[in-house]
Amino acid sequence: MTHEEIEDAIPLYAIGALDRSERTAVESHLLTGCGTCHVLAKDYQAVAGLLPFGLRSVAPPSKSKILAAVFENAASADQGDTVGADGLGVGAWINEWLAPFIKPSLQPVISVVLLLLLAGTGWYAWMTHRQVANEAGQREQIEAALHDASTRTAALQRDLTQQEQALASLKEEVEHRIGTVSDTRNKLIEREAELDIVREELSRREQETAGLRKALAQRDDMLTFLRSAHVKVVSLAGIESAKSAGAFLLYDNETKKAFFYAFNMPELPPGKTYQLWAIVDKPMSAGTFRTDSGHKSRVVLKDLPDLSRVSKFAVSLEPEGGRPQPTGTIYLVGQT
Amino acid sequence: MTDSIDDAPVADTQGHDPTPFDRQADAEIRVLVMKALVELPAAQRQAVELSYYEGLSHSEIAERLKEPVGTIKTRIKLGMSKLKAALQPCWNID
Repeated sequence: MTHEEIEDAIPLYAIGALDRSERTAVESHLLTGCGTCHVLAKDYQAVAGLLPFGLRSVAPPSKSKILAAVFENAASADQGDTVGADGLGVGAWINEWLAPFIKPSLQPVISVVLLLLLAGTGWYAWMTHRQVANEAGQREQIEAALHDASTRTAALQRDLTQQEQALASLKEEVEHRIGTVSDTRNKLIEREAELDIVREELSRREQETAGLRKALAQRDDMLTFLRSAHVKVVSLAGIESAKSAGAFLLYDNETKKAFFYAFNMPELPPGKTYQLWAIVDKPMSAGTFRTDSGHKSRVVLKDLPDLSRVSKFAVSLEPEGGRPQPTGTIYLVGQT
Repeated sequence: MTDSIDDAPVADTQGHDPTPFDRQADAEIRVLVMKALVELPAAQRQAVELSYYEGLSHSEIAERLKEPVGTIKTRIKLGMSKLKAALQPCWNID
């Protein structure tokens, strides 16, 4: 050991904290007569000598107190089993329980550690409880939201179904309307067809009416001629190829008009017509006429020559449109 | 247990019938030593007490407290140094 090490070791030497070898080394050094170390050792030994004054002063126990302590220990040993751990405080319980395993100087530390552990466990349990409660609350919220969403979905589906039904009914309605329109169109077409028929009928009737009017007018003309006092009648008889045919002429001398009526006339060949001739000095055309289905003919003639100048009336077959002079076969002849 | 053993010499000294002056001086020294010990840092006081009162060497203290030997040596040295400074008046009286 160096001198510095010896000096450092002197306080420990003074209170007996050195190992045997160190103590021997220090004592050997002191025996060499080192003045510094000697003074130092003396001072520290004085300090060590005062240390017993630091102990608490305790009065010596009396005999009765010792006996009382002995009896108390015996009594507590008897009650130990019946009272049990319930009678001990936390620190005492830990001391009692851990004493066999832990050094007494460490027991307060262990107690603190155990208390910290207990507090930590409690805190962890409380946090876990809160977390579980929070999670339960969140789960409830999610379930409630889910329930709302499913309710809304159900409502939407219901609406959808109703709308689909409404759509289906509208579709039916539209189809029905389309059917109705189609029916109506068909009816319209039928009516138009009927209308066409009616129109044709009307047209036919109008033609008939026109014919009838014409016939009526001719009858009126004939009646007029028949009623007139100035009318003279000339009869025409069929000759040769048309012996059954005949005609008569109602001549009004004042108006120079005549009503000619022929019957049983032979059917006209195509491109031919009958022509009436008034023969004064020579034949003068009085007009052309055709026969109807009953081989009859009614014609009103105008601008005829005076009857007194006419000797004969004759009817001949002429080409269409007539001729200035007779060219064809004579069918009827009558004297005035 | 150690307390009761150490009490015995005190009882013996009382048995030597000390004078009232001696009693007064003892009381003053006792107060000084107690005060000096109390004012030490707890670790240094513990090291000094284990060494002196329980007779442990620095290596035994280090083993018990699970501390390095150097740390224990330093604590004892510092503690003794402070006690020396605090108790200087006592051996001046002596």
